Amino acid sequence: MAEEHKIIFTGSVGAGKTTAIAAVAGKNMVRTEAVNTDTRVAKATTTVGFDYGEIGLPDGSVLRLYGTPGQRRFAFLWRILARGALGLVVLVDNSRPDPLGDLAMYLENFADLVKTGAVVVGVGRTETHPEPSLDAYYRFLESRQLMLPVFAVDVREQEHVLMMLDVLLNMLELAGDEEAHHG
Amino acid sequence: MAEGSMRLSREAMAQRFTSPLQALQREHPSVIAAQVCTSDGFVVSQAHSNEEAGRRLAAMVSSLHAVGAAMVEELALGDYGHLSVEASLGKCMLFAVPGTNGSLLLAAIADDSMLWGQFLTACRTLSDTLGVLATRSE
Ligand SMILES: Nc1nc2c(ncn2[C@@H]2O[C@H](COP(=O)(O)OP(=O)(O)OP(=O)(O)O)[C@@H](O)[C@H]2O)c(=O)[nH]1
Ligand SMILES: [Mg+2]
Repeated sequence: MAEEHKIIFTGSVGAGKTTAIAAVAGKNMVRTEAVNTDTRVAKATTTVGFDYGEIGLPDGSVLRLYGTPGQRRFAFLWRILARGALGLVVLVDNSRPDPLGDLAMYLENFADLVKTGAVVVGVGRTETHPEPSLDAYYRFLESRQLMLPVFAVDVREQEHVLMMLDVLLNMLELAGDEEAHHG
Repeated sequence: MAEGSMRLSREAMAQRFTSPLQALQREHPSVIAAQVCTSDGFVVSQAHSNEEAGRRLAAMVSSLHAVGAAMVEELALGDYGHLSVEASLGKCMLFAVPGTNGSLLLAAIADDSMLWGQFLTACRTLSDTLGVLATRSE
């Protein structure tokens, strides 16, 4: 049976939500980029609506990937986009001043989705900015009673994005086929 | 070329836009709010005085515009014109200011006493005026 699963990519401005979805969904994705006029954001364009892309899974089901805007003035869209979502990918940019604070902010704003537990955290730019370490992320999450997988990723790499989605799907037990063979 | 608008500072544009925005409200008392914002959701100039409401509106306007434009593109419907929203208590109209490469947006809100055709015409005329002001070099 063809099923559709809605997955949200959220996180800091410039962490690479749009880049991640482009890496796996390719040319057919829907973008809503606007020219960035905010000098505090070192980027030519920024997402003001949402990104949308699809991935077909071997069992015929479809992953619908939605990327949120990262900037806070678009928080009204976060709630709208989160409706009906099954899983969440939070991308954090380790080169920003307070990446753990960023993570906390997005986790709070997607609290309903976080409660369901299907969340993975991707930390970007760790080669140039190793701190906070992944250990620090785990300690931070544990202090909030959250047991979520954290990965160092470069979202420009398709494999890295697919790996996060794979983990998420396993957490959702949507990748049921492989498990069925255990019997 | 549209680049003229890029070289104007936001303050300079704000000054140019204030009076035509206010004129819309003066000529049409049903218009509750009117603003020009950037396509990434910052207020450039507004005719109403509530700054927080203006900031929130600008973010929503940029999102709606971007989603509308993405839909036009997805459906291959040609050039994006405007976007309108009708509600039981009022209407919103959203235009891309001509000649600015979609970098400036005009949004106007009217109460339910405003007639559609009248609102559309007033906004289109204002948007054209703003386009001339945005791209005029001196
Ligand atoms: N050097 C480096 N660049 C990266 C890395 N990850 C992402 N980028 C770049 O960072 C930028 C991310 O931009 P976007 O994908 O627009 O970011 P976003 O999260 O969608 O941002 P908003 O929509 O504005 O919130 C892109 O130019 C990527 O190529 C990384 O690990 N190293
Ligand atoms: Mg983006």
